[in-house]
Amino acid sequence: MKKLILFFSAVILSAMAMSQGLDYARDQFSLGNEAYMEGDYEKALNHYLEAEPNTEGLAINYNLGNAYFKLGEIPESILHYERALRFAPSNEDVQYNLSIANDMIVDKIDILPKSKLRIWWDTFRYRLGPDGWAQLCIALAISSVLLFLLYYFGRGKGVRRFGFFGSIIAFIFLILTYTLAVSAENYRYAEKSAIVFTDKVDVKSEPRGGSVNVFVLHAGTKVEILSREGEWYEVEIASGAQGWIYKDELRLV
Amino acid sequence: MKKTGRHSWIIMIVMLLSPIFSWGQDAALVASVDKNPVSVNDVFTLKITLTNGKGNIETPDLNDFQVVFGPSRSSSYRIVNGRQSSSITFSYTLRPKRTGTFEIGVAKANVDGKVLTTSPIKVEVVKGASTSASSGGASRSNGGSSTQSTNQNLMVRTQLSKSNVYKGEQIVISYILLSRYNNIDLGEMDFPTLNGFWSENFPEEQTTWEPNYEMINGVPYRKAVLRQQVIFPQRAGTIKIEPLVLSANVNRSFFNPGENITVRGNSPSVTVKALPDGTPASFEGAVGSFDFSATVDKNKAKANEAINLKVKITGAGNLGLIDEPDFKFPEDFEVYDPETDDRISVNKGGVRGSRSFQYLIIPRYPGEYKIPELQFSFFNPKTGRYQTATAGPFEFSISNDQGKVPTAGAPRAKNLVEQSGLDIRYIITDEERLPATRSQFFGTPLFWAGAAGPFALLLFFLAYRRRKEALDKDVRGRKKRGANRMARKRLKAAEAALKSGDSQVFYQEIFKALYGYLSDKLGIPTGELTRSKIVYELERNDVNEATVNDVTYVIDTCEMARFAPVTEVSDEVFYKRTAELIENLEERLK
Repeated sequence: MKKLILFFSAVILSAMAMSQGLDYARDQFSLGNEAYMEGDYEKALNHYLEAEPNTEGLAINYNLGNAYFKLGEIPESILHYERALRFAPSNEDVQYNLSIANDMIVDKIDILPKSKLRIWWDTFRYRLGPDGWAQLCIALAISSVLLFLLYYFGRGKGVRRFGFFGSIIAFIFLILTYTLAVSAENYRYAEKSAIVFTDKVDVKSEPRGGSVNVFVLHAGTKVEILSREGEWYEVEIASGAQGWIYKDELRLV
Repeated sequence: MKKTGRHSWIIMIVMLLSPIFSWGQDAALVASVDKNPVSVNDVFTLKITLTNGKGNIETPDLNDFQVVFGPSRSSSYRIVNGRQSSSITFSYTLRPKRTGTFEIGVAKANVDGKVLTTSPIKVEVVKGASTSASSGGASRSNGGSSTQSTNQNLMVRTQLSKSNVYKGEQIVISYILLSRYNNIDLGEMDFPTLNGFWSENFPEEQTTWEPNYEMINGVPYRKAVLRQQVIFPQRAGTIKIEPLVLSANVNRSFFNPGENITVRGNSPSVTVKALPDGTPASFEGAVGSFDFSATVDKNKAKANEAINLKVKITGAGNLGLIDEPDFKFPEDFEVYDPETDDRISVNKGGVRGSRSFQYLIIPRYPGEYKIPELQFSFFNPKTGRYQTATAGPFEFSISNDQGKVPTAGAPRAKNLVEQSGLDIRYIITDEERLPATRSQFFGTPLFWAGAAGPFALLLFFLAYRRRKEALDKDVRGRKKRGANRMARKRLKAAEAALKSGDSQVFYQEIFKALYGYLSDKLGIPTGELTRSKIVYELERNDVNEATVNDVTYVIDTCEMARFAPVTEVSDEVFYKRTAELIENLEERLK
């Protein structure tokens, strides 16, 4: 009983602390917005950075990206736009601003075209976000149980059969939805892409300083992370080329 | 052996006349040598020529040289196209004494009270055989095609009018051919590519020898301008111009196939200064000295009637690089892309002339309109400053189109919404859209409760049902066990009688036990309990017929046993059957 009380008080305290942090973040966010509106991007950026540790998601990263862009720090702005896209993969404003920022960097990489099916699948997978899928998960769990009860107590063959198969189908969908929620969460939080921050980076053939330079990247280019070996990341760029980059040259999205 | 150049720069120049100096009408004194440099062992000729004059020639000091022959005096007199000219020439054949650079001093002549002087000549004396292609063509290699990059008898020069300029300032570049050959046939000419410059060519002309000789170190050369251009540097810094490479066939005659020679010119550098800071807003790269004017053909017009606006930029500078100025026109004016009209000439003075832009403007609606002041800025390299010229503003008064009164519904050309500036979209201002860090619902205990809870509840419910069923079954077992105990309790006296073997007492006890039991169970006092009442009550309580029959059988048997011993069934069996009967009844009756 004592333990339970301790647990609950801990939960409530952390929730309070969190909501206090969130209030602070919201204050800083509005101050940043005011400064941005007046064109004082430096000030706006500082407020947004104050707010950043206590919040996440589309709005803060999008605004940070804008402030960095206005101050001419394109790699930072690309990093934050990419982060914003993690939370809202199909947000048009983010995509538009990101495309403008990408036009201003040195590297123009031929992007391998995605298949239509793949685009549809990605949109479908990330549209609801992990929370949307989670809610669907709960709805399916409840309906699966209700249908089972229908089978258990139902009178009449048809009703019972409907209850039985309905319950099984709902359960299968529940598992699918759970998988989707996991993949959407991975998309959001897994550290699998990064932005190059050094002006000019030699991408190596091996995770070793003296190895052959495979190609050169410049600040602002997005790379996908394939694996990590000590202090080196194996990366792939949009054109499909692969190589190794030292960890200090990158920042993870 | 005639080479055909890519640009068909083939010019055949045949000298028909012997190299006689053809000065003008004024008296002149000129000194020249036929070779420079000369080899120590070689001889060379110094000529001092006085043209169109008479007087004493005072020869210079020639102590540094050994005079092999001379002075020899020759004179000539000619009339060409009614003009007469005369010349007196003193020739010395000289041999250097040692290597080094020696100066032949000035020669003087007193002509009609005026003292004419020559310029001093520096003669370089070198070791070994000299380059011995004299004007007469001393070295004739038959059919040979020797290639020399330095040739004292044929030279090309690249000359610049200025070498220190502002970015965009014009420079005249001249490619000059200097020759001492009589007979020269020009082949391929490789002009420099002029990276970093924007160039305008002079109008093409035939290359001709200039009338006057060019003296280089006292040696006379014939001179021809191969090409001239005006160039505008496009970037700051020091830009080196590549040398001109020219190949030519010389000394070709009827008997001689001639000699192929390739010469490279000099490679001058241009120092380009960047334009200073403080560029005016309307500056778009014009460098030079310009006038700016703008005129409209009318200030009053009807709607839908065309108005012409002519903007003219006149002057010297990079006119060809001036784009149409970016003017702001009123919204309701339809403005067509301007027509550009160039009157530009390129000559030794550089690029000058005018460029004009003619805008066709159609006002669509009546009203008073104004085109604000037009501005044109340029950098003047002479003063080193930016200058801004203005014209206008222009005011227009547009009256209604005759007959056609534009109404709200009148068709008008729709303005295409064009994206003119590229910028990112605005921020999100709604702070309510800020979630807390990691405020994700998925994966939280609440999510797990929601997803797994229903199943847990279901399992719990099913388990409860199962347990209840089991419990229900158990109640019947307990009842049975209770009934058994009850029967044993009731039949305790009968059991004792059975063990003592008293059959009479045994049946009495059985009878008592059953009656007592039924009386308790049915709630009827023993006195009122008759056999028929028992049957009636039992049947009312849903006891089945077999059991009722068993009850009557036990009662009847006990009644009979009072009078006669029971033989058809043993006492033990009867006891057991009665016990079973009571158990049975206990289960049926509540």
